[in-house]
Amino acid sequence: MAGEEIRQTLIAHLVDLDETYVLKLVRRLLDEGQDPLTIIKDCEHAMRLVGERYEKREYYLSGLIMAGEIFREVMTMSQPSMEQRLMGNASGRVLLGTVQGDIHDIGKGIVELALRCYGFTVEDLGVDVPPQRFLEHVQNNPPDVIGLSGLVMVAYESMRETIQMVRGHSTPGQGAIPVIIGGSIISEAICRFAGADFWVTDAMEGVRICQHIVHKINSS
Amino acid sequence: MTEPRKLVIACATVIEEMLPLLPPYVEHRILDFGLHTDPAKLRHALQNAIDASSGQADTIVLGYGLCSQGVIGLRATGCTLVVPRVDDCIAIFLGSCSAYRQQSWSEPGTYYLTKGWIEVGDSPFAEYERMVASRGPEYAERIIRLMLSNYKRLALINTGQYELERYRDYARRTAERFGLRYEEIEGSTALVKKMLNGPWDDEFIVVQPGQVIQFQHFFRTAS
Repeated sequence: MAGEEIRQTLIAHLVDLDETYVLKLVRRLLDEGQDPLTIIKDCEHAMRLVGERYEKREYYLSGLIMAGEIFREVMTMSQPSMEQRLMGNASGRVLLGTVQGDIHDIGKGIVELALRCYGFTVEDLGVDVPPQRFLEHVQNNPPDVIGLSGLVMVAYESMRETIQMVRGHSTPGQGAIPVIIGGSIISEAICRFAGADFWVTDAMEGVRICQHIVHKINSS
Repeated sequence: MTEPRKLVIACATVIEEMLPLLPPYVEHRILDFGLHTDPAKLRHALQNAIDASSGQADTIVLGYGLCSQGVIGLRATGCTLVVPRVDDCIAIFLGSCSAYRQQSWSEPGTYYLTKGWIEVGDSPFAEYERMVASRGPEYAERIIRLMLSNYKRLALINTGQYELERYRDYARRTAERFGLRYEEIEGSTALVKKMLNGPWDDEFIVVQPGQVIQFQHFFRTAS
């Protein structure tokens, strides 16, 4: 199969949730020295197509979760090759957590893995994390970016509270640490309400924003 | 003085709780429960239902909460819109936003069930059965474990509106099967009664004709 054909095959099988085929193909591509970044980008494209199937009600929630699982496994397999390519290029530190009152973490898990693939150091505080705990970690070991995850309405208020607490205790003279909020139904309105700097519904978009933030820090 | 004309547009699960309390002169429209998975579709369906009904009522009461922001952006040109200031239907079944918050804070990892949710078959547990049939038990087990990761409690809400025994058996068995703590929570019709009869106080968002339901309306603390 030619390169483009293989890429389309990978996308099609991930959209069909054919885990065995996808993992076998990715293993082969990595062994052949293919660019892991291209593999991850193709899987990202496939994930968007799975999302469309869910919206059209062709897939149930389980379809989304299975696709996320396959994507997670692909990223785990790709991580060593990604690390080799990124060697010596530290990408920055991200503090992650699902905010207080919420326990959903499937998306956060994918973000964490994706960030690690791209060379970030990630500290994940888990789920139902109180604002005070975020603050303690920010004060003890300030990250370059804070990522707050949440799905339910209670989470929006916790995000707001967490951001207010962290901003209220920021070190004078140092700029505020950028905050990204993420989750499948996060929106611009929630971002404004919470007082965050960025919002994402897509893991890879979150990685790109972190890269942009760290690039800005490094070049300033 | 004539009574203002009211009309209810509600989700299929919420209307079940409203019907026993619905005065005969109040008309109602029912929207598909499945819309809740797609906020854009829900918004579209709600706006269509509002547009089709606005000449027939002075006030339209929506049997919804914020519901994944599906109600944001809705407007009625010829009548007032009333929507409870709640996250979703769970708060309606529990009787208030504060009752829901109390439950959420005490155990964030709670999966709530009601008669309606069980009957429409839209839960991870119903999905598990579908997965067993289509992809086999091993696959189903793997996915349900991911879906229920961090969930600790399965709570059946007893709203007192129907015979509970059948649903209790199902909920209890389901909790046991998936290693969740089973609890029965007392529901309340207090919010449903207020939705139908008022007063539409600060537990409600009241939007005048031509105005739009906005995200910040759902938060009293929003600036």
